[in-house]
Amino acid sequence: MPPRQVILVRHGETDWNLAGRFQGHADPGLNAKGKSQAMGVAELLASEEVDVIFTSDLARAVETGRHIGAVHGVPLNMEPLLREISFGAWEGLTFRELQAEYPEVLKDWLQDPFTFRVPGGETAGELGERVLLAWDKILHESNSAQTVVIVAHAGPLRMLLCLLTGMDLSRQWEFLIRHGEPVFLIKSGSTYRIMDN
Amino acid sequence: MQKRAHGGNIYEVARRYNLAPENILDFSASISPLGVPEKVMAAVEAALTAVRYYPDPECTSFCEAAAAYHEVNRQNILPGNGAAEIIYLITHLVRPRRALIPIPTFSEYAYAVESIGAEVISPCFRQQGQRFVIHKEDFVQSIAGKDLVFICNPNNPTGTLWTRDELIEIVEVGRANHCTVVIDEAYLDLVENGPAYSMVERVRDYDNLLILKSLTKVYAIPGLRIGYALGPSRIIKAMTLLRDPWSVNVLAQEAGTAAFQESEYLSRLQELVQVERQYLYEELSKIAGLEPVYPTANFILFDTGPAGISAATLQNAMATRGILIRDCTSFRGMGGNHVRITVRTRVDNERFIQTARECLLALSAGGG
Repeated sequence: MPPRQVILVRHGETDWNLAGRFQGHADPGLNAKGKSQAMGVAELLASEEVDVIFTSDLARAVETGRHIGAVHGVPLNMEPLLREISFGAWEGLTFRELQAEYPEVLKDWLQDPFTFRVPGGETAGELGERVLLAWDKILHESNSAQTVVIVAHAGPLRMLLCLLTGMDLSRQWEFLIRHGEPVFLIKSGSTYRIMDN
Repeated sequence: MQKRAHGGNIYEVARRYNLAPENILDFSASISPLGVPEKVMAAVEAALTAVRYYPDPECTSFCEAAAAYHEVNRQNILPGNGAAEIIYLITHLVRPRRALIPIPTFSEYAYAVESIGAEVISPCFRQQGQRFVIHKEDFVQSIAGKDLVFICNPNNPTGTLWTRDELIEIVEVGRANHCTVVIDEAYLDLVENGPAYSMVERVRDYDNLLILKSLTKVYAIPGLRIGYALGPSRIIKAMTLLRDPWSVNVLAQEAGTAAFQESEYLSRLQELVQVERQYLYEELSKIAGLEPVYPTANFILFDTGPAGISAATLQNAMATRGILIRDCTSFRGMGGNHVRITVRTRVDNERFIQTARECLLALSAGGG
């Protein structure tokens, strides 16, 4: 049985977020604001009966998930499939630095960000396949769980939102989860419905 | 030196992003997307042979057409090389010690005042939900001790509208304080029920009121430069003595005169703007991370802050895709997360929305 409730949580802020650095698989930890966002979301979810938590294995997600896990006494399942899209050689650089160092590649990527591959990175299509595998794995490993928490990143969470609500991936722009923000999804027929919280 | 940033600089963008100017879709300048009206273009073409003569320094035909259009006397009209010229003329005429200019707004008012070494006092519009507002009573009180007030109605870039009653109070308090009030109605033709907000029909009632009008935006002729002012004959006469007698060239005079006969074009544009600004507002509202301000004219301001992306970054990304938008950081009193776009045709607006969605998604994944 798929879980009755899925709670998606985006990791808290990092210094790289603040500086506008492309993060991808790079692994900066939470900054002070990010830590307080992680504690805030943990507090917000305290009244939920969380059965299982899956997090991306990147530090910013793990650290956020740990605060939630501590409240519920639930261990974390760290899942590399939930990582952000890989930005390869671009990781650690700001948009301005990319303009200076990779003007042509940046232009190609902006022309078609969903099929173009950043040097050494992933395409959005590959991220989509990875997120699909992650969801299958979560379903398999969380059998009989009523409430599942998934802590991850902007890219994979947006794809999960489309996947779970039955929306086409081309409508991802309708979603943006802020740092440390939870999104509640309730099972409704064969898909999930986003709850207004 | 401070750079005087405005929208519509497609040549600079074409150079910087290696694009052909004709392939750039310009959403940064608030110009009619319907192109130059037929009668206006025909007037310009017919006037080409007259470029061998000096222009009429009195701009007689143009001023008569403007006076007839607004039902005022010829003595109440001053032509200008765009409304911008008149902003400088009135500033040089009044020579204020202190001028009151609510911000963020069109930058040339402050530039003009500062160019004569006068002080600019700038109360701020504040964002309240989907609108930018100002405390109107405080504003009226702050008129005392100022010699000149500039008000843009609707305000560029926030879209804030001043009602006629509010403006009448400002002009009357200004009169009691020996303060000249300039009301720039550059975008008012494109506001729903615009005439209800216009001060033109009150222009005879006050000796301290000057109204600015622009033909550039509505009739898509920014390259020609033509605007005018309506005001008391005393001020108009004094500004006429200050102005370069040939500042409005032959082509601009003829284009401007013809523009007053383009009522059908204006109605078509008003209908398009009304439908399309609603379309853009609704579509922008649906994009997660963008927050549009409720539009009143042919431009929309929106906040990129919730997406965690600066206006400059979005402007750069969109320019790479051939779409020019206005990063509003250079407006005094505006932070680094506001962008202004103009309202264009449905095909162009759809391309804008699609490109904005894709750029936002790509850039926000970068911060994931």
